[in-house]
Amino acid sequence: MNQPFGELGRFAEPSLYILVSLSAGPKHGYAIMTDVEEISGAPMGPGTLYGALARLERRGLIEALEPEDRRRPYRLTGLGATTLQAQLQSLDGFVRTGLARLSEKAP
Amino acid sequence: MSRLVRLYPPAWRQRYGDEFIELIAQRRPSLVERVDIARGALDAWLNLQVAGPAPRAAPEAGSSGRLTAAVAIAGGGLWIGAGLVLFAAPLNQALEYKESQGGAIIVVAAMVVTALAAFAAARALPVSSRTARVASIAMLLGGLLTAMPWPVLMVGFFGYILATTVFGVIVALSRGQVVGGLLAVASLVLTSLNTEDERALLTIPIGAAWIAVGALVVRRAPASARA
Repeated sequence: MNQPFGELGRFAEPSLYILVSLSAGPKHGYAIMTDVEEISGAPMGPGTLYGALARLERRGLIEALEPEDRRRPYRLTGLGATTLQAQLQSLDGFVRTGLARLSEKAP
Repeated sequence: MSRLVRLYPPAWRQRYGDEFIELIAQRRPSLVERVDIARGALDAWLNLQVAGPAPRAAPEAGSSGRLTAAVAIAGGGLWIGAGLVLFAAPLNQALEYKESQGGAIIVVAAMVVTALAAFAAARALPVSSRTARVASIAMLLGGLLTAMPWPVLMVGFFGYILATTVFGVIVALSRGQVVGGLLAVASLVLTSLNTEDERALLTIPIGAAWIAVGALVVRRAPASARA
């Protein structure tokens, strides 16, 4: 994955899922977890979720809002939206290339 | 559930603890999720990621910071001095042993002084400051036991080394990787100390490491305190 996802190591893929989840609007931790499970079809553990959230927040890609009781919602920042868009476009190009090559080889 | 959160470093808990407890209260974690939480905690210890100013990151302030640094540097100087005195000690022809008593006294003094520096510096560490304080007390006990006759002195000496290694690791985890790593390694090098030959000079690395700890404390002090 490209920067800044590349430097996130094992948190790169969960981070991408979280950004996609937050692109629909602010969410707190539990809502992100359930949404990511719907998007990806696989559950995301709490340790992975908060490892990725902390990294995204530190890099300014998401920001924390005022807590609602003890739940704190997060939202995508402008930088986060731009980064997510660039990442998805890159992945889109990758997917198109892969599918085109597969169709060329198809009997 | 809060037991799982206690696996995380204090600075992380202060920022994310409440919402994390709320999250795992909403859905009881499975065994796999508990392993995931443990992995997350390990990651947080090794690579703390907290946005904004770390809640307990501001270490030393004012004159207490300078005093801590001065004590650490003095302790480092004592370690280096002890090695030089031991190395240069004259041979007792009758016993065929070096007259190492003077050097041994300086070694004990170095252990006590660096333990005091560690105790003072521990409260400023953003990671495991409580463990660091316990390690510094163990260092002090180790130093005092080293003043006792053999074999108690060996227990004290190796106890000091172990406690110093722990303290070095905590400094390394508190964004002082180089200095903390140097202290941990230098303390382990000390296990090869021998007062009878050139290995007496193995006190020099730990002396240098404590001087580096002092420099780190000064560097982390607020600019106004350094002025």
